[in-house]
Amino acid sequence: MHEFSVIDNLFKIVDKICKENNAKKVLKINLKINPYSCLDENNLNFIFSSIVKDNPVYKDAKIKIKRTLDPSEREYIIEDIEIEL
Amino acid sequence: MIKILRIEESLFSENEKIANEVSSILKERKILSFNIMGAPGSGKTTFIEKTIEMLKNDFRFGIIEGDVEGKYDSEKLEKFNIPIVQINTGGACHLEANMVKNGILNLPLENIDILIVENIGNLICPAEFPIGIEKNIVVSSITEGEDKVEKYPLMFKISHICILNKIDLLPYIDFNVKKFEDELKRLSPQINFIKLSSKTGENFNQWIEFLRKLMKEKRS
Repeated sequence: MHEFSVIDNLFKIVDKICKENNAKKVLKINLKINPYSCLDENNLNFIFSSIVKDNPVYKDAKIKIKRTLDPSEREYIIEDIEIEL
Repeated sequence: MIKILRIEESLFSENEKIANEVSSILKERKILSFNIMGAPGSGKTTFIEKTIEMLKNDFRFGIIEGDVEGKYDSEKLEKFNIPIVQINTGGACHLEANMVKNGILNLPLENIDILIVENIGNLICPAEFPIGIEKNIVVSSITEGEDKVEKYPLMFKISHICILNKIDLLPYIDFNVKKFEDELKRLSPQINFIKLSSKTGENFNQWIEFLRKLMKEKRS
């Protein structure tokens, strides 16, 4: 359920950077997430793609989650994004 | 041309910023604060009720009640005549820092020693969102089963205190306390673990003494 809130935050952060860099297309969004987090790659991609399906910059973007090794911190980082200029 | 842009920014950066503001506001006023989390029906409200009942003459309480709908829990606490703010999330499964900030801005903080926030009954989502409250408490009850630590590790990992509630029902339910405790300590060796019954008051003093110790540290 809180995936909507996560995608909303993610979009705001990524969109600002894409505009600053004149990105034509976003191909990949790489996240680094706590190993115990319930955030799931398939769920995030499903919600993200349904929100951006009509947006030419984001419609082909895929979210990838890499689990961190240290579970002691709440870690939810947008590591990097792959864009086409 | 393909380019990789480093971002290294938290997905929850906005929430974390507000959580830090909440934390500063409470720290400045030396208010001890608890974020009470746990599954629906684990006994969070009864635990809060019993805590206030036992300490109402010693400390001044303030409450933020988080629920998806209704004000059932805050009505239960009205008898104490203490400041209560009810937050209804209208569907959201957890409290976020901005909701808690609005809550504390509507409380008379100058008249509060201990702030208790009761989060939405849920073992998943509240664990992902810091709300600027000092101590996370997870209330787990024996009627939920002994497998909760294994199934919801993040909740138990981020909690400072684990209350195992409803121990008065142990004679009637298959619940291996040692198995629960071993799994909890394996996951989170530093966690404070207290077994009690909020209904009968069995072992409740252990929690009360622990809370008094925290208050003493806060005021020293």
